[in-house]
Amino acid sequence: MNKKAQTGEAILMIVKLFLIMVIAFSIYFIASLFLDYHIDTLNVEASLLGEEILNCLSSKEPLVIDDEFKSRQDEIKKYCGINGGNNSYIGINITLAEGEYLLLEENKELKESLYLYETPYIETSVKNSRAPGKYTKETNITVLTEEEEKLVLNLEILIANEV
Amino acid sequence: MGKRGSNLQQTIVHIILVALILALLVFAVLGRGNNSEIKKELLEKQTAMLIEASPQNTQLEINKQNVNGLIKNVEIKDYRISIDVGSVESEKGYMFFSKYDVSVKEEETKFIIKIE
Repeated sequence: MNKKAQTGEAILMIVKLFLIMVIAFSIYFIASLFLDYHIDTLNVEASLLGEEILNCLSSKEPLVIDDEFKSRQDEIKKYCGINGGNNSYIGINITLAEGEYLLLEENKELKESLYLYETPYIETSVKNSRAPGKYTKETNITVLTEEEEKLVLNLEILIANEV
Repeated sequence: MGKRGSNLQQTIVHIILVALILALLVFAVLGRGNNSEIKKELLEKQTAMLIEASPQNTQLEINKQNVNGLIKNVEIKDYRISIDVGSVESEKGYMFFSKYDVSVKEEETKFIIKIE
């Protein structure tokens, strides 16, 4: 075999190996995309917290809406004896009459930052790394204002990925 | 004869190199799938959700020799659970909530999480 042919074959082999390596790296890269998944449990956690809050409120029925209850802003978890979970926003909205609401919120600032996710034109870099877990529920609750009455309660829970 | 021998030699080298590349690919992909980091995240989140959903006076047992690997340590501090799996140490743990006191006790073969 002449020298030129030998060199040609060697080059061809290098090219073949290079192609195989490119294919191997592509497979590895695609496999990594699937394997590097994020285990998202935030929605489940939001629903667990939501059910816990609803259980707590219904156990206190009829709910006495007095000044003390209204002063529970930022203390909803404490009111229900729940500890931890500081990465959550809790919003309780009770419709007292038409156009009249009682809104109790815990971690209001968190809600503002988490709602960036629902604003499509905001740059992704501004947003937190993961979308928050969300739980909303509308239910009826017996409330004692001047008299006992059934009112509509809207609960909203948001859980941030990490704080 | 010389040409045939040279061709055979080249083909063998070729096959060995391709096999090496493929073996490396398989090990790399498997390594990524069995990543302790993912297993740690999975265990922390699973345990946190179990604690959140558990009623009072519940005990959760986590075997040290677990399907997710060897669990070296389980720590609960300020309503955060940290689980060290294999060589991966948990940095800040995973946040959870509970109405009850949550503590962890280490035994010879398992960790017991008490919700009281």
